[in-house]
Amino acid sequence: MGEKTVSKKRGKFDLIISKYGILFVLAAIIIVAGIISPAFLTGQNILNILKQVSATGMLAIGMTFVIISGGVDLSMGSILSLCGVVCVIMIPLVGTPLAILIALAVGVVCGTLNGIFITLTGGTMGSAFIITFGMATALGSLALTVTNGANVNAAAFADFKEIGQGSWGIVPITVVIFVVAVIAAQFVLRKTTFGRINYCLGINDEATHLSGIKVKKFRVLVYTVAGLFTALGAVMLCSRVSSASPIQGEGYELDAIAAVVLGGTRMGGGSGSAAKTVIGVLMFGILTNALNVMGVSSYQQMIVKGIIIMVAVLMDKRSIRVENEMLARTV
Amino acid sequence: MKEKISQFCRKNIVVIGIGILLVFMAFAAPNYFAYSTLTGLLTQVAIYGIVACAMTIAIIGGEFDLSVSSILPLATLLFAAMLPTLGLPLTIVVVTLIGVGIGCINGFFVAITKINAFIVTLATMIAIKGIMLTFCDGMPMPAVNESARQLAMGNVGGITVTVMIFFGCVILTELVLRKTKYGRNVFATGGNYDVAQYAGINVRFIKFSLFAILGGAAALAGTLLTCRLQAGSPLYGSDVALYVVSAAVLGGTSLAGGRGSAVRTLLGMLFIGMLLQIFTYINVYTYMQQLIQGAIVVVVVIMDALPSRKKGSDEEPVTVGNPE
Amino acid sequence: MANTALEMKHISKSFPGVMALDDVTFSVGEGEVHALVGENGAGKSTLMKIINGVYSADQGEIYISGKKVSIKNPLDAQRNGVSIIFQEFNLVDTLSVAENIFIGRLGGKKKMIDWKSIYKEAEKLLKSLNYDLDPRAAVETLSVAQMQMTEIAKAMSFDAKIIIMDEPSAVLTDNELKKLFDIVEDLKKRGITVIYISHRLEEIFQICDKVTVLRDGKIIDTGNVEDLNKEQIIEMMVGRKLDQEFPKREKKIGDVILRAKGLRRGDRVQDVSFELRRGEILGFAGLVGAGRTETMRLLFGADQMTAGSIELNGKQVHIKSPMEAKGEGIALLPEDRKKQGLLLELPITENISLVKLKKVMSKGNLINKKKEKDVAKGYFDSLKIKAPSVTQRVYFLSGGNQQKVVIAKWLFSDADIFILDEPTRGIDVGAKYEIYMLMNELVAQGKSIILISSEMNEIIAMSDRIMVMHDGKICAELNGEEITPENVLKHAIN
Repeated sequence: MGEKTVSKKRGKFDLIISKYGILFVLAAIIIVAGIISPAFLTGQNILNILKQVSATGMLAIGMTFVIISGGVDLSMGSILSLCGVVCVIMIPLVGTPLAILIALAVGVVCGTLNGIFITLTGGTMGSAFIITFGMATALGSLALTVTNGANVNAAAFADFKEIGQGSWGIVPITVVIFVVAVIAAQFVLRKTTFGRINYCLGINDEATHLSGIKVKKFRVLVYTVAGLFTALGAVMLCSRVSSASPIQGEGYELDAIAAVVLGGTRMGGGSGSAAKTVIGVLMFGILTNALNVMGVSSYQQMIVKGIIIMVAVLMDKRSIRVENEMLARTV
Repeated sequence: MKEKISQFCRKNIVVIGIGILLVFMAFAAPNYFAYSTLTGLLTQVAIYGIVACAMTIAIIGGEFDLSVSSILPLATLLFAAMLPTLGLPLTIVVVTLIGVGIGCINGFFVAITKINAFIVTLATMIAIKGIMLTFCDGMPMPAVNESARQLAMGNVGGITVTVMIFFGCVILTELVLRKTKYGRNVFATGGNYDVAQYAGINVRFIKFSLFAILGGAAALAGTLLTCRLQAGSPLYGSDVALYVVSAAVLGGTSLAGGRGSAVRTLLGMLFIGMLLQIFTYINVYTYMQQLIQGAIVVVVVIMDALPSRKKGSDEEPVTVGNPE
Repeated sequence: MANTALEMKHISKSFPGVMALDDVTFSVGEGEVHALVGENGAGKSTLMKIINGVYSADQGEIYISGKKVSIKNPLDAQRNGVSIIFQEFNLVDTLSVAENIFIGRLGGKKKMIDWKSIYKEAEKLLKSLNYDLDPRAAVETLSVAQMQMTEIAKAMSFDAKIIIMDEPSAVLTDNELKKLFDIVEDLKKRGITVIYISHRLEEIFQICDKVTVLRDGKIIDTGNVEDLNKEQIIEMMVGRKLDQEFPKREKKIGDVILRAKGLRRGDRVQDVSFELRRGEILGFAGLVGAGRTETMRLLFGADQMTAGSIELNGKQVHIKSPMEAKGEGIALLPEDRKKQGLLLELPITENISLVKLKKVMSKGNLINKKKEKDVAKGYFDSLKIKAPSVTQRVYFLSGGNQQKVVIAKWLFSDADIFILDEPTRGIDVGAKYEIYMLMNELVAQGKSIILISSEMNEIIAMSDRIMVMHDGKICAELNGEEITPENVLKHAIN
């Protein structure tokens, strides 16, 4: 009997760790970074962090939709590059607003194609991996083809640069866009049919289908939304750095996956939220920033990112087990 | 009858594809048909071909590896760094063993902790890329060495040593897959994991070994690439995973596992190689080539998925579950 | 009497809420063909899974050839000479017959495989069994009967002394059935013990020596086949059960609401026609694999029919997807409610509202959580769903309460026609009664029910009319007095 209570207590501890462990890690990173480099905790640096993460954050939100639906999108980086170069190239031709719209349309089309191909191959995580992996190469080289491999400069377009570099008061515009996007995404996930069905796809798409829901249509839509968020991220990024490069997006999809998984949204689908992803994005941004401040090279940061993804997945695997054990006890 | 023909076409799509390319070139550029074209083609596909053999085994065993795209370039750099001190033979051995070691890490996470291979190899791909870039600071490293060059480019009648090694790998893979206990256990594990387990096959070891082999093959390919190009670079071989997976699937190795052959993968390699060769011939832009490579993957994967889905819906409801 | 090959003593096994096997003692003689019969849920498959090491018994002992054995997994069973041939075969589709026979043991201790000798050995084995089968053929190209042969050859290569066949005839054509009988006959000659599980009693009289009847997890009797007739066996299987297990209802049967004409899809559904009336419970009886579920999937648009038409209230409708079926007021409570009927990780509320999210939306097409909760609460109370709250995840409910959630969900969709596929499978007796009450309430409200059930008592007591299916066709329609267990079984097993 005594043994049982002990294990129950430990179970609860495990549950807390698995649920909120991410926040402890976040706190630890902030404290360590603050001690090593006092510059880290200045207001300017914090605003900087927010500004830096907002483009990645947009992709992470799109990725949240995809991962909740039980899929993954490895082509986001390439879509970002493509949308970026299309946007900047179009500005002198059609003006900034229309150029942005065209870029968004490109993102939507790419995402929709992803969705159609994935649905055609059965909609499993495996098919999403391979299809978007192939699409990443195809779209990435399309971006290179469009600019002939060169960068496109956007320094001359003041109205375009305003998006990424301007601010309202002390709040950068990109941060405002990111916050609005998060709220919108959270709202869609919680309040709309699309959001609800998105979860159902990740939990059990056969049961969803047999509940009279058009599963395929919604699955395509998930990737369309991901494409749209990626395009928004592309506009914000290009505007912030005043240029577009056909390889600009390389690696961004991995950052997005890492942020989503770090936030606690489960690979495999069925659970998660945009709010969780915000925590993941912040953590990822702070970590990157802290590593920068500590003088860790961008190359070494990749090692850290790879390890983080693995650890997050392992922790998640463990937390599923802990949760199941806990729940099994209560039944 | 009609069904039989379509089935035949689907099965031999790569042969038909090669045929079409040949016919096209016969009209477009008759001087394509030269012995040097053939040897050039073989030299071009040989290095990735080694990885393709290992990937074929892995796909038959029901797994998949993205991280070869990082292991291969890492191997080129390690090779360049070690060659001056260790000498050629020892360097090849050491670098290959390091590749096996990395593969074992992948294998551990997939076979023992049972995490989806896509995620595992995605994470190791990034981490290894980081290690590699830190190691070389993003710069290529020279590896000028005559005996290394001889090893790669030395040839008998245009057939380079690398091509011979590639053929050796194809034959070895085919032998292992057809003739050894291990090979058949790979088929059984990929074909039906539970049945294989019930039959007393050490399925975990099989899954583990697939990644070890892939790591070793990618590293070996990296060393040969360095021998040929006389330099190591973080940019070499970053498209290898895509290339070899499309070759394997084009050749008829099913992503569902339990089916495939190295010889057919060789045909898949030749098809993609020819396509790229022809693009150069008719001056298609390099970026365009990559675009088409990506498109090939998408098309091939869709084709691979379609017949099996059809079969399912005719007989009984297709149950779709989420992989772990 | 010959030596006993297998003896099971005092085997008990319970699952949460169900006593699957209750002190079962059972013995089979060497070289005997022993039939094991019983209704679905009687405990046959649990018993077999214990012999095969998939489950372990809570209590009891197993003796093989007089020696006590412990079987913890299927490999143990194989080592002890026990081999089960399941309906869904344990074969690797992509490999050859020979390879499947020797899977895991190819080449013995040697690393390299000598295919010639393997094929030769396989051929020898197949020949000795008189099977006309190419050892080089890929399993995926074989017919069902040939797969069965492969499984038997595999068992024989293990020197199996006891071969258990689980419903081997369910999926065979007449010709293949003859072949199966020859095979069983031959096994018997070789001194192999065969345990033959089947619903088709005629087969038992043709090839079995002894028969054991299981009911509700208990052995009812074992006897020589010669001394029994079909009626006696059916009586033992069905048993005399209390009437009050099924609630009575007043019948108010109205006009025809649904008319299916000549539905067809492949071999599984062939020219199926029937009518359903308002306020009626129409039973669909038949053996597993008779095509009942497949027919209902056509009706619900989950599969496409290749021929036939459906009329609802006299109007022809084209149902191509579950969404359209839902729009026409048809509901399907699928056979496998955990995999197909529910989203286990979601709470009761969201499982119910999913089928008609529009109805829980406030202005602007937004989900209103309060409305959603209120709706769920309504059904929660009226259907007496037992759970801590409506936000409880369905995963943690018992089978009966899960089924109620599925019913609630379709009630919420305003369905008029409820297709219930095995609605009480895996549900304990008390909860079953509540489901029956619910069914009565539904028809009292003028809704109609199609009931698929393999439980004889249930289908007989609940249905107003019964269609009996066999091999994808409707082979009988039973009305009023004709509805008896004997009649249903007779038509179902043809």
